[in-house]
Amino acid sequence: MGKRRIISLLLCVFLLVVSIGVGGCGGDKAGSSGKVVIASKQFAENLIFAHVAALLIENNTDLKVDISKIGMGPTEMLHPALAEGEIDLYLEYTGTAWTTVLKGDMLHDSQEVYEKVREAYRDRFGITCLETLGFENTFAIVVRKDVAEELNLSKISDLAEHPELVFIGDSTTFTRPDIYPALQEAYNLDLQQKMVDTTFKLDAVAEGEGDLTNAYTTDGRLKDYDVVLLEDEKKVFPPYYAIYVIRTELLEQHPEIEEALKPLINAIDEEMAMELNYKVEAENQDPADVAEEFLKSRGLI
Amino acid sequence: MSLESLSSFLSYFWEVRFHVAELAVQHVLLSLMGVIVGTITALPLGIFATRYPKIGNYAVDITGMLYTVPSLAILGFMLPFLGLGWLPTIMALIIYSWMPVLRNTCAGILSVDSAVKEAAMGMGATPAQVLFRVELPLAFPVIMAGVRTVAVLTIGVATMGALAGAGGLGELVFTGISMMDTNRTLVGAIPVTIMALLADQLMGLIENRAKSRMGIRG
Repeated sequence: MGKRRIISLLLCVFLLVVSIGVGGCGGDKAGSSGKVVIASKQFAENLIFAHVAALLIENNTDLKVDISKIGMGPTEMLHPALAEGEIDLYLEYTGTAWTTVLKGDMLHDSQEVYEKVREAYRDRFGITCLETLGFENTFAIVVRKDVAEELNLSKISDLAEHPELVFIGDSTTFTRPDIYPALQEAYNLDLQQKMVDTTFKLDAVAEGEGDLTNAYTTDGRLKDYDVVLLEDEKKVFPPYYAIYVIRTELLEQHPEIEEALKPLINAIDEEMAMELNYKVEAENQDPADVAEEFLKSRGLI
Repeated sequence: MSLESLSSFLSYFWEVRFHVAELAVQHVLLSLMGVIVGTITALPLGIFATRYPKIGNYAVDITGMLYTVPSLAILGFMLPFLGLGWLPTIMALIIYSWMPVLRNTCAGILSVDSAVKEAAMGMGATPAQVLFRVELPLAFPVIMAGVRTVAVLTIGVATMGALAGAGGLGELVFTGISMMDTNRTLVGAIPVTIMALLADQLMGLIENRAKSRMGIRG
């Protein structure tokens, strides 16, 4: 009996390790299937703009698209997948690429960050960065209104005197160098930490599970919650402009992809992005439908 | 796994051992609450279902359907009522434990030979005595098998507590997965596996004890 248990334990651990290993590198190389594999992160804006790209490519070129990787995971997963050629395209943010992928120092000039990311992606990974879609999605630190009023909080530095406050994060907030660790260092913070799923962050603050969180500035729901935005007076967060990142090899074979995406370059502002996000986040519309409706309204498909 | 990655894993584990211990305690508490309350609620329902099969069938179907709802969706459903944290997490664990316990309770009691029950009634046993002295003891191994399944399952599912802000070892698993940090994922996942195996062993032990006390040979 005892021996059998030990063997089954070892088997479990083995399976776990194997499945993680295989999960990381399984699947066909993109392109070999003849389809453009489009992927995305797991929040509304990224989902929407993945579908936007998919629809534009499908409608305006002869290529077929594979949308099964939309909603796949965060940059830490998407970037290696793109560099390895398992996926072909996703929407990245310059600041995320700069800090999370390239582990660069905090920079604040948006053009400088974009140029550095573009060069490094081209030289090191064979990935092409298209120009920005025109909007920025940075982090806003938001506190529940009653807490902000009671403790008189208006700037992030005010948090340093309140180590009892609970910061709600998701699975990347406390480990990604440009989010909590950056705040911690710049503002000398030592807050309580609590993790929830990305989708529940604002609810967790509203419900009193915690007091503050890092929201996206283009999050459509912000206006629906009783939260106060804290001023980032040290400008900790780097610029996060939205850019499509595409495998260069694929782009060389099919330059029509860039052509198809061109109408989006510098064509979307924060307000527009927020409006689209709101439809998904607050009105629970399907990201694919929102993408289609948007493209039709602009006469692009 | 090469020797190098094994040693990097072990040194990482050593570095975060107190954090792992803290999360493991949360994990055990969540699972324990889920299994205990789940069993306490499903067991009477199972008995009821054998007495009133028409209503009972609905109960079995409904718990079966609930069992298939993804965990994140359950948390999303309960958000407006229970908010976030340990309460909705335990509630979700309870919901997942209903189906196996309910099914096995029904199956166990229905498998009791009607001749045995009639004999008991012939000797003047009241319905309650038939239930507690004949049916439940004879159905015990089957019911226990259900509870055992639930214990192992719950420990696994409790990882999603991390997504609702209830903590537990899922925090390490999910952060590890999103950061592509295998060490972190394993530091969370291996204790979960060990816990599940231990729980299974423990339940087996309790089962055998109880059986021999009741004079049933399983």
